[in-house]
Amino acid sequence: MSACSSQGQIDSPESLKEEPSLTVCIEGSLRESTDDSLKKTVNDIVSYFNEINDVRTNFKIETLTSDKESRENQIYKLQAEIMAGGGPDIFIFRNDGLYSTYNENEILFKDLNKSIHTGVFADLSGFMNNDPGFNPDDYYSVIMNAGAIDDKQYILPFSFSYFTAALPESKPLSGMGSDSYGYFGGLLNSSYKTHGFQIPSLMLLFDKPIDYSRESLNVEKEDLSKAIGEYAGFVKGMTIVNDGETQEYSTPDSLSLNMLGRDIFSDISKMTEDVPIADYPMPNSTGGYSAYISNGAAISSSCKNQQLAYDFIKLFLSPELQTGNSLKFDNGDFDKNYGGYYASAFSGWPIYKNISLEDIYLFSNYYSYESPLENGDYYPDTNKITFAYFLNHIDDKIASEMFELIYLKPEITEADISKATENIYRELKAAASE
Amino acid sequence: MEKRNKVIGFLLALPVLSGLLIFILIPFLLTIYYSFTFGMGGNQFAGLANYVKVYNSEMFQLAAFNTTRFLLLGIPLIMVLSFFIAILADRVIAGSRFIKLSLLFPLIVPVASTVMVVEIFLAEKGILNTWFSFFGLPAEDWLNSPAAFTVLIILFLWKNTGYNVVLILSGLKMIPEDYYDSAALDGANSFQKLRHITLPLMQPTLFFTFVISLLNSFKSFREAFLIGGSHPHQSIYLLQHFMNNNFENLNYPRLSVAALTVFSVIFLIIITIYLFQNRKERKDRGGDFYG
Repeated sequence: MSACSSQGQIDSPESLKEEPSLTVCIEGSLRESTDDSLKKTVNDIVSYFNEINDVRTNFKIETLTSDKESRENQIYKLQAEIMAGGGPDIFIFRNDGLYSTYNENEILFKDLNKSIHTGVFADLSGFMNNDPGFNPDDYYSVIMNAGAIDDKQYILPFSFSYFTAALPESKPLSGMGSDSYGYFGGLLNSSYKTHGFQIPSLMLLFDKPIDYSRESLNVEKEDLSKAIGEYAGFVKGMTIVNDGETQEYSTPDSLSLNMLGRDIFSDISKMTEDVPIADYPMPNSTGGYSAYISNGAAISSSCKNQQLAYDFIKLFLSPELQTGNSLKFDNGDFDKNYGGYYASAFSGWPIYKNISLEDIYLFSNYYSYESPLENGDYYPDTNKITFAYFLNHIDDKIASEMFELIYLKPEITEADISKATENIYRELKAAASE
Repeated sequence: MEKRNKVIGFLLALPVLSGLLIFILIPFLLTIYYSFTFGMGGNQFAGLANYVKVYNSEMFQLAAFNTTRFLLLGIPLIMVLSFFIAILADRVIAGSRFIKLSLLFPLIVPVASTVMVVEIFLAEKGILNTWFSFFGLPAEDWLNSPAAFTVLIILFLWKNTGYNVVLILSGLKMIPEDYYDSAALDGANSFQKLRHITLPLMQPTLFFTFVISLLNSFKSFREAFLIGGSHPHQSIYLLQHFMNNNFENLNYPRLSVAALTVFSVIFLIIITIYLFQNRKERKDRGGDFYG
């Protein structure tokens, strides 16, 4: 039906055009505060996107609920919609540590590394190649490659992270299997664990363990067994004393650390004034570093307006968002250190290369730093990052196996290592060739 | 009048036919279509690439091997066991009702409860291993070792034998006693009666029981899943695990290939036995019951 203007003429078709619309699905966590902060961040970016564009886009944002009971049903519904060719246009992932605290049914994409190969995401290469504003040299290619197959980009990573070990500052790591493992003071992943430390993903200690394209493994069972034995033996060698809420760890150097609650990093720096502790990136078997993608986004292959969706998600890679210098939003608790500057709920290190450490404003909602250098974080030499991937349910299963091996067995025997190896190898094989 | 009856018949059957069309036939045809596509919603044609990938997949091969092994062992076992229990139950007069009811008991016990009891007994720190260690015997992780396959077979037999017995028993009751009396007068012994009277006349019932057993065997996935999760010990990794995991990975084309493969195999088995049985029946109608 056409509408008539006051002159009695038919309005032009452009005036009757609907606003373009996009649906965005954010894979939030089971923590309400994270849910809210992620949604708030994306809403801020949506507002920014509509401000800088002539045509307003109507966004519908859906977050995976933090309510456990409803979440599974929500995921099943989404999976059915996606497989039928529907579902959200854009997916925004929060991938760091997700798999250590959830069961498989609470995660929408159980293995993003595999999902890239299933055709669920659109190929962004065409848009990127035709985008004069996008320069691939501005970003860490190893990190970008986590979301790509054969030069076709399916997921755009925003930020990445790596597993660290809290070590005495004077004793840095030099590689797996070397004497430097004996100097571990404790192993920390992120602040998601409230007590003690989390066992880092064993797979991050290997370089490209699974070849998803060839559906094969690059890890032999013997290598896996050796890594499990060495790693478990080392951690087992640390003394653990349970004392209610606190756990005391001592290193072979008899350096004791008390870890309380969630502010593990700040507690360590307070409690170890005599012996400065720093976070060192853990090396993989090649001596380089493996990274995992903290956050990213992808477009559904069923999206009807992929160009518009690309224009939105590429904003997350822009220098403005990666540095947070150009956006000014009131973002509640997160902005109190930054005087109203943009602070996002995305964690990890930015993928944009040309940022000084002082300008990095990507924080998780559990801790904030005055600056990365002041808290003793050691940024990895990004030239040595050899491999990046998405954490997935296998990492969680590996952590469970290692946890059982290290903490639930009175002593580690060859049979125990063999059993853990079989279980983990089975998971890897399934991930590669299912 | 006849045409009017046909139209009325069709209209009366329409609701059921519509349901069959919407919920079975159309999804089935869509599954065939998706198996030749890539991506979501079937928007990219992939030819036979999915079939090549799935059949070359080590996990699919393992699942197919385990499922075949389960069928080749489980179905003959359950058929033989059910048949002989039914023969015995047919001859027992006292307490026969109680026996029939108790045979159906496993069917009403929830699968989760059954598996929970199994885990209490057979888990690594379960009751059985506790007894073993008391007697100085080595403990075994029954549910995470090749023994898991045996456990699954036993669970399948325990759960489904009773139902098969009831089916076979009903078939046995339909054989007129006069045939056995006549055979006895002719000097036939028990084995001859079984071979020349019982088995031939039980063929339709046995065929039906076989089909039900075949379909029930695929339900053993529930037990396997509850015991070992999405990726159990390799001895009980079945085709349904492969399909279920591909569903969760949103790999619908691969899932479709696996599902169609399973359907094709089941269809071929049933149609082969059906045609064989039909042919034999027609042949028998031309001869006598004593061969």
